[in-house]
Amino acid sequence: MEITTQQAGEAMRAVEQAGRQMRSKMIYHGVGQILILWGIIWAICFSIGQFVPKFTNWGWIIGNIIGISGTAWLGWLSQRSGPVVGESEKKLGRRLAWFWFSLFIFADIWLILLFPWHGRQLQIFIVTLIMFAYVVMGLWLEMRLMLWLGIVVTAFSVGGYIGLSYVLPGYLDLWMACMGGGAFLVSGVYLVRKWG
Amino acid sequence: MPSINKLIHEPARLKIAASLATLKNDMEVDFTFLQSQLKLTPGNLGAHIDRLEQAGYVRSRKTFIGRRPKTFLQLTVKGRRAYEDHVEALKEIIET
Repeated sequence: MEITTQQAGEAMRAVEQAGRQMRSKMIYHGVGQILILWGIIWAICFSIGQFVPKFTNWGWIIGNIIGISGTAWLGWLSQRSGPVVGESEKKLGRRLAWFWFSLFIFADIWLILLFPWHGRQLQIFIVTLIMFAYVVMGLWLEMRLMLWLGIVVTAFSVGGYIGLSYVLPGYLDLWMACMGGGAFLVSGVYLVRKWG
Repeated sequence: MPSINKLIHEPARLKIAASLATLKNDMEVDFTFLQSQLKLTPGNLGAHIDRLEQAGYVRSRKTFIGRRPKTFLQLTVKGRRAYEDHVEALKEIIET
């Protein structure tokens, strides 16, 4: 069978596009819903911190319980209804769960070692640590959106922590509710619309 | 030397093979998902899968998830090798 250079080029482009779409669908399937869940939790919990600060701790405890159990449930649903099945897929899911579990254990160790800290430092430390995990996941799994989400939210958080203390002291929670929660929500909606 | 594989080179089958080749050897993809991904009708995709199965390039597995019947597809070792050879042949044509 003879084909021209142009036909071969078109075929290669089709191959690359099909491969790229399949990979994106595999890695982003179910991620959008998790980002939306955390976007809502961040928006609500940071807003509580801004407007009813005496309930901040309770807000975050309840928010984290809902977020962690919701993430586990959505992850299970996504694996069950996902377009791709196989042992490698399950192994990756388990590895990701252990990665996040280890991160939280190390975060607790660092928080004990770094004590004393004040509320704002703790807030930004946790946010940037989670965003660091997003950057790692983005690089590791070639998820460009996660990588950029991690970088953008880190920039918003650090920028807000440093910048707002001069311009609008006392509004960091509101800033984080809008910029952090908002970034998660927008990314989540984008992923759901694009990849399901 | 790798050569153009007439069966795989057909545009729809090339996309099917390219999509399946991104999966690891132990992974399978849902028929309905692949159909929507490649924008093919069920009959059209089914016909291409039959051709690829007859050549020993694709394996399909029918099962039930709850009460719903599902078909999962994967490339066989022979299919992966044939696809990789075909892609190599395409690259050689482009480079020469």
